[in-house]
Amino acid sequence: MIENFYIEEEIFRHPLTENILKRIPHKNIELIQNYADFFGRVKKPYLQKRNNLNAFIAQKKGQLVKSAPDAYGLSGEPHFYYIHAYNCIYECEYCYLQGHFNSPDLVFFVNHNEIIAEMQKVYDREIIKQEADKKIWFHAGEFSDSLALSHATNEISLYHNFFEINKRAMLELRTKSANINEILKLKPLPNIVTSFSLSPSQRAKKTDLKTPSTKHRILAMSKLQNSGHKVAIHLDPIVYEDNFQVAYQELFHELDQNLDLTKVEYISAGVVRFTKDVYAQVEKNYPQSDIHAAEMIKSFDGKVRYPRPMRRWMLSSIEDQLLKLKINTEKIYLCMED
Amino acid sequence: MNKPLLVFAHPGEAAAFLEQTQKAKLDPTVYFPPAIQPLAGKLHTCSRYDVLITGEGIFSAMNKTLLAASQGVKYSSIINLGICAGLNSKLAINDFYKIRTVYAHNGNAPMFQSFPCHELNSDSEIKSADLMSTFDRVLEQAQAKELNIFAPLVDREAYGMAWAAKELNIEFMAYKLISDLPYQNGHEDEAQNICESIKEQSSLFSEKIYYEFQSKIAPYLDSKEHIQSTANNIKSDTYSQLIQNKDMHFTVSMSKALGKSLKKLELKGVDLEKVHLLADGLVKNYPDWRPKQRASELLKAISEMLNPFRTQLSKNLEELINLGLTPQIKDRINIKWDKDFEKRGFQINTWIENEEHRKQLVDAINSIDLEKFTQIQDGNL
Repeated sequence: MIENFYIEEEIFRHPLTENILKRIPHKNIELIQNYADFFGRVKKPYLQKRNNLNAFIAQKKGQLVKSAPDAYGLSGEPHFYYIHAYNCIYECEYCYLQGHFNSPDLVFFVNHNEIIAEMQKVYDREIIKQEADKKIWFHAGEFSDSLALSHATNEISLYHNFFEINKRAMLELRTKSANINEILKLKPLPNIVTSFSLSPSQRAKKTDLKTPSTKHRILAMSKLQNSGHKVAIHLDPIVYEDNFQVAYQELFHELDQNLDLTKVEYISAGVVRFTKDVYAQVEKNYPQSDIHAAEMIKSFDGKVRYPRPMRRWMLSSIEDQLLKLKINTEKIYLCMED
Repeated sequence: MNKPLLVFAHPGEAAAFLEQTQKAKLDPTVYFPPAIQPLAGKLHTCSRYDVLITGEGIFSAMNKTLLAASQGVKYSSIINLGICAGLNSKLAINDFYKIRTVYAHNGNAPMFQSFPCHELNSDSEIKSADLMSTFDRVLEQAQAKELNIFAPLVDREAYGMAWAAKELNIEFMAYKLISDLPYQNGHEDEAQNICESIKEQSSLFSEKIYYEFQSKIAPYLDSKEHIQSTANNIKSDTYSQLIQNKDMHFTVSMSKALGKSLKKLELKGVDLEKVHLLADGLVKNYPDWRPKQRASELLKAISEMLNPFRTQLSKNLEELINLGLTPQIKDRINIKWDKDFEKRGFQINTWIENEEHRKQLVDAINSIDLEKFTQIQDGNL
C-alpha cells in the first residue's frame, strides 16, 4: 500500500500513470512540478518503507541510457543500462539501495518512449563499431526490480517492440520476483532474457525479506522456459554459512529438476560485498543479521567483503558444482574483481 | 537510575505538568517542579524527571538542550512534548502523535540531515507521523502544501532538540498535539488570529499533553525493557563479568573489541559459556601472566572463533614455511603476510651481519614453496 502518490503535473493524464494508479493501492494523490524537488532531498530512514511508503510518478531526465560498469555481464560486448524506476518493494538485507538514494520511496518513470529513442541512438552508434557476431546489451533493474510491479507499470511491451526490430540488441530484465505475467503475454524473442537472482531457500528466507521464495522464483523460470522465453541466473550475492556448499547443491538440484539447465542463457556468480556506506546502513537497519558475524574485511578497493582467498574458494566451489551439471564453461560468469 | 529530561518550547505547553505538583499535592522533589517562577532556559530538577523550557526556534531549542543535558546529569532520554501544526486534511486538532522522524526546513530548502526518534513499547497505542521543524512560522496554505510532502506535522523546535540529543548520544523522542491546521488558512489576517487562538487555548492543550504523557508514555519509561535499551545496549552479562574480572585487564580499545566480538559470537549463535571457559582456562593455566596478557590472549582466541577461515589459512601457511626452515634461521627471521589476505606473497625481516647470515636467508627463501604458498593465499586449501 502506497501512502501518497506524488505525480508530476505534466504526466498526470499519461496512460501509464493511470494504469499505475489503477493497479497499486494508495491513500492520497498530490500533484507536483518536479519529483527531484522532493525525492532524496532529506534523509528518510530506509525502514520507513515498511509502514510509510510514498511513490512518485515522474519523467526521467538527464542521461537516459548509461554505460554499465565493467563487471556487469559477459565480457567482450558493450553493456548499457536504462532506468525505469528507483527503489524496490522488496527488502533484501544486503541491498545497496539502502545507502544509495537516501529515501526508500519509489519513483516510477513513464517516459519510456524517450528512453527507447535514446536506446535506438546508442544501438545505431554501437552497431557500426562492433563485429557482426557481437551484440549490444541493455539491462533493466539496476535501481529497481524489473518485474516486481510490471503489471502496474506496463512498460515491458514497449521495450519488446524495440528488441523485436533491433535483432542485435539484447535485453536483460533482472528480477527477484515471480511476477512474469507481462512477459508471458509477449512473443518470446531470442534477444530478451529474464534473469533471476537466486539464493538457497533458507538463505533467501533469512535475508531476501518480502521477496517470493526461491521455490516460486524457480517455478516462474520454469514457466518462462516452457513458453519459449530465455532465462538466466544470477547467484549473487552468495552469503557464506557453514553449510553453504550443501545449500547450493540443493539449490542446483532444485533448478535441475525444474529447468533445462543447458538452455539457461548464462549463470553469473558473485560473493556478497558492500561499499562502506551501504555496510554501515546494513548494520543500522539489520543489526541482528548474521551477515555481520561473517569474516568481513575492508578489501583492496575499500569495499567490505570476505577475504580474497575465501571469495575465490567460494566461487570456485560454485563453479565446480555447475560444471558437474554439464553447464558449458562459457555460460558461467564469475564476478571476480581480479 | 538515569532519568528522562522533558523538554518544552513554551511555558504554556508545560503548564499542566508544573501545576500537577500543586493540584495533586505531589512531592515537588519527586515529580514535577512547581510553576512558581519564569522557567525559560532554566533547568528544573526533580528526582523522577527534569524539566527544561527552551524558548522559541530551532537554535534556541538546540542551545538550551545542549547546555542543560551536558551539565553532569546523565539523562536516559530527551523527550520533547508540545504542540504542532497539521498540514493536511486527514489531520485534526487535538490529535496526539508520536514523532517518527524529525526533519527541518530553513525557509529556502529542506535540510538533508534528519533524526529518527527512539521508539517505546507503548508507541503502538499512539499514532505516528513525521515532523518538520521550520525556521519561520508556517501560516499559509501554499507553504503547508509543499512541506506536507516531507512531513505532515510542523513545529519550530524539535529539530534543535533532536540535534542536541544526537550530539550527546542520548536517545530522543517527541510527542506532539495538533493545535492548528495552517492549510485551512486563506488570508494573513486569519493566520494571525490562529496564533492568538492557540495562546488562549494553551492550558487546554497542555492538559491534554499531560494526560497522554501520564497514561501512554510515562509507564513505559520505567519499564524494564526501556531501562535495558537505554543502558546503551549493554552487551551481554558475559561482557560485564569479563570486564569486572580482576584476573583480566581490558584497555579501552580492548573493551570495545570485546564488546564487538561478543556481539558477533551471539549473532553466530555461539554459546557464550565457551568464552567463560576460555577465560577460566587462561586464569588457571597461566597464573604468572599479567591480567592484560590474559585479556589479550582471550581476544585472540575469540577472534579465531570468529574467523575460522583466516585462522586456518594462517596455520596452513605457517606449516608450509616451517617445513623448509632450519632451526638456525627460524630464530633470526620474521616472515609476515597480509593478515586480511588481500595481497599475495610474503615479507621477510632479518638482520644480516655476515656471509653466513646472507646464505641462510637465501636458503630460507629457496626453501619456501612459493607456488604452494600463493595457492593457499588464493583459497586452495
